[in-house]
Amino acid sequence: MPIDVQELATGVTRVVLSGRIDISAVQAIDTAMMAVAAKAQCMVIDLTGVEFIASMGLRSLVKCAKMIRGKRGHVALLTAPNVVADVIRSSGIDDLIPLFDSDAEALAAVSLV
Amino acid sequence: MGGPDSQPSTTLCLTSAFDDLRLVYPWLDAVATTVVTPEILSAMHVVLEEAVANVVMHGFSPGQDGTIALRFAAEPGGVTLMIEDDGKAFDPSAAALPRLAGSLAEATVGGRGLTLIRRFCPAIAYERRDGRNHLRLRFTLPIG
Repeated sequence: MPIDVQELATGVTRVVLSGRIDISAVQAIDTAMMAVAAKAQCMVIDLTGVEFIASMGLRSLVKCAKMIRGKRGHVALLTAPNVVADVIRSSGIDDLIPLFDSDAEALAAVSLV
Repeated sequence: MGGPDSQPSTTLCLTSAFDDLRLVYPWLDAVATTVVTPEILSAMHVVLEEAVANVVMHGFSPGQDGTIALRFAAEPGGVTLMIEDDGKAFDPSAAALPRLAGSLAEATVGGRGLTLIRRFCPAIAYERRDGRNHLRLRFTLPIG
């Protein structure tokens, strides 16, 4: 399960996930995401390359977002219009973490002004 | 084991060990990929992960060894996944859904599996029989 972390000049941390966030992969993702979240203040979690997520993966997203928000930071999700977005919306996660299908909107949502 | 032309087994037996959960995905792909659409297969992956993870994480007492049997059946107009386990009685079709949190601060980390099962599987049937849970998850194939 690849995870790519990009520190943008705007101070935003972009975490790019790809492949499947299933039970086989979720523990490694969870550990990596929490390590990044511990240092980040503004984060976009880019899920456009993710093929599968269910509630085990959603747990990681919520844990990560709670850590960031606990530091009064900002976090947003970026997805393609696919089953991953459907899972996130169906579970109500998008009511807790803003969800975008546009990179620019996701970055703007978390950028400090 | 069969040869390269043999059909995949429509039954998969798991223990309640968490590591066994990873066997579920390749089994489902093997039995269902040629039978259902990619969209239905995606929904089946979501539902099966939720249902089996629920059994493994909540169905047994600590240290208890459990068994879970998965079966796949293709019928006219649809396919059915059957999950049978010897854990605690639990009906995913009737259990109350957790209340949605109003904010991230209030939100629990987990607890969204039942919502996803009901969203992605249109027909769920549950029966407790002979000390075992029997869950049937039916997915309707598009006409044509």
